[in-house]
Amino acid sequence: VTVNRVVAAGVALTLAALALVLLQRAPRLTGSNAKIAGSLVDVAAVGSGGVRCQGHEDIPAGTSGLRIFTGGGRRIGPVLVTVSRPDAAGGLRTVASGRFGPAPAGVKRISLSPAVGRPVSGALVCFTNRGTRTVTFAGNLTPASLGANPDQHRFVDDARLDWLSPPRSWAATAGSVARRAGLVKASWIGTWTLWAVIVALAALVAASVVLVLREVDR
Amino acid sequence: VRALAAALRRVPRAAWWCAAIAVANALLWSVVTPPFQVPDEPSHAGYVQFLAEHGKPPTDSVNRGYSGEQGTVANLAWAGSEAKPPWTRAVDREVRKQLDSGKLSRSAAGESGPTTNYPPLYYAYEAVPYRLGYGLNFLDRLYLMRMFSALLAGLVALGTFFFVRELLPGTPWAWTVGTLAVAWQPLLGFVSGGVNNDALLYAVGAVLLALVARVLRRGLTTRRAVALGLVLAAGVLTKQSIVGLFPGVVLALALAVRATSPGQRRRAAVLAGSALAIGALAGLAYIAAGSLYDRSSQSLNAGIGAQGYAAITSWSGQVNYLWTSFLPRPPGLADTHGGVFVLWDVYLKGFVGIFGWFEFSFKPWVYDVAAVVFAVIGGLALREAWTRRDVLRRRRPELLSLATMVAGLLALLAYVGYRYRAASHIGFEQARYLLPLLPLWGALVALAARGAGRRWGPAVGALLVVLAIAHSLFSMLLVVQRYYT
Repeated sequence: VTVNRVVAAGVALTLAALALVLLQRAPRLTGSNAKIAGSLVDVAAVGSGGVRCQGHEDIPAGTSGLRIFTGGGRRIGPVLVTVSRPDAAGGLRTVASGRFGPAPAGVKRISLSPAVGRPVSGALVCFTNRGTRTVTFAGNLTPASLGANPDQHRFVDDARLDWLSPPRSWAATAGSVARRAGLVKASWIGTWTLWAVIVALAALVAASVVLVLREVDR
Repeated sequence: VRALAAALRRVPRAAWWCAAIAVANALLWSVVTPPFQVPDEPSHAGYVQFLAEHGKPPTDSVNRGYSGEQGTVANLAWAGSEAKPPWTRAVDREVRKQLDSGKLSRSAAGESGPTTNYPPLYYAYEAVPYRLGYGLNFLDRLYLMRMFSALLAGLVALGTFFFVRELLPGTPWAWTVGTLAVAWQPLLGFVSGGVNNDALLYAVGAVLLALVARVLRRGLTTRRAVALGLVLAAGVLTKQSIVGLFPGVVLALALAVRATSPGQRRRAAVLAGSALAIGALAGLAYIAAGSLYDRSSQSLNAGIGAQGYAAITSWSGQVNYLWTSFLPRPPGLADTHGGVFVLWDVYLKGFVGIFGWFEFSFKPWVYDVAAVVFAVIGGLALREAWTRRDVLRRRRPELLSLATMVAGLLALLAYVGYRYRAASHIGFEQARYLLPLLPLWGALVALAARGAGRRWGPAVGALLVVLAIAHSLFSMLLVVQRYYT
């Protein structure tokens, strides 16, 4: 067994593992109103028969599901979700709806029907609790960890809404990822940069492999 | 200057390549990581801004508050610990509009927050790109600072190369293997790709280790003593935790003097004393400058010596803390870490990869696999050490000095960690604090490759480099996943 073959096998294994990860299919985030990774607070306790609505939500195109983080006990719901937008006449027009429960509280992925084809801005999202128990929702602004929020400051949270796409691979979301990675950075960084990073990484890997092979060959 | 140029010409080409790869990797990390998502980056950037704007280091971190530019990035761009960066062009436009308006303040009292306590060398270095990009907006200046920081990863690689070369002089290929393992280490790329004084501390640590190894192998000369003194001075002026390496350096110098022939011993002792004196002078200058710039005594010891700790700490508590950081807790000893086993949960898992503000990580099984890899690398290195025990016996001074440097840093971190947790109930330790010792990782990998034997050694070495590359790629993918998916 030569060193070259060992290295070739190692590189091939790495590429295969990368491909395996990048081709995994699952619903992906199209957008979210959360500014934090994890939430400290429960907001919007909705009692039996109650309704909770929050406005000014932006829903990206290609959204077919909603992820929320609920509390309230072993069996909550059913809860109906409606997404509406203002129409020209000043009323509201339902864009999509869905439901979950009865089910244990926790992370809930709700299918929305129909899928949102065009981006919707300023949408109103309402939760109607048809169950017997009060339902709570994790917030979208107050961070959970003590390190991130040492003074345990409470912001005015809304319920966290994570908008989901239909199942798709990481590779299929690469365009969106590149666009997001180019935002709010130096002015010379843009959508192109992530692609350039991938090319540069490939060059670096090649340089490292050539270097180590040359050195062990001496 | 001529001597320096000649010394640089003697650096092997492989070392330059390794350094270039380390720098390029850190640059890529700097581009991928969103602003203010490297630990404490807002405060470090605030320190640079204050120094660059006022020409002096910040005073105490009272009236903590962001400068207008800093606050705009932190608040509008949702940057900071546990944050999720914005994905919409509307937010991007708004942030840029505000930063380009020229109306935001470029300074605020306390903008350096908790980093105020650090010495100013790294920040003075970073003030160069800040001033170079003075007409650009804050995000542009931040990324210029990150790029300068990434250059320091090259020094880490160079230090590692020479360190491994001193330890394994008969196996040139192992120098490259060990150094590439370090150049691709994801935590090095992640931290060096951000604005954080640890980046300079890692460089200082790597060069210090290389110099100590060289002095112990080849003796103490005037040039080496001066170089050692200057690196110690750079460490003193970078971050207080360099003190953890001092006992090992003092021991190494003492052993180097002892190893000198009796006729030269007096001269060697003077040189060793001079090296330490240069470092001490830097410390004294820092203290003097502290009073000049109205910095409190807290800024000299990073707050470790605060009076309030006496009431909430004890010697037995400290011993308990140190023991349970690295050894299983026996019955009777209190849990002082909130259920965390520092050696594994913080240091080893953190070395494999916990990113952002030490907040997100791989799936648990990845760390189990890493434990197996650590065991294999450790086992092969031990095999090599056992096979070459006669050589090791002869090189006891090096081993003893390096072990003291490791023990010194770990003990210092446990000392600080105990006080920090007692006061705040938050864990202090993070894997990045160990990275001044990163060349030891390179040496371990190189030793492991040699431990695979004459026939398999080169193949195992090359495979370990591929593994290091894969580790880095998946780490970067993890960061991309956290912030952009």
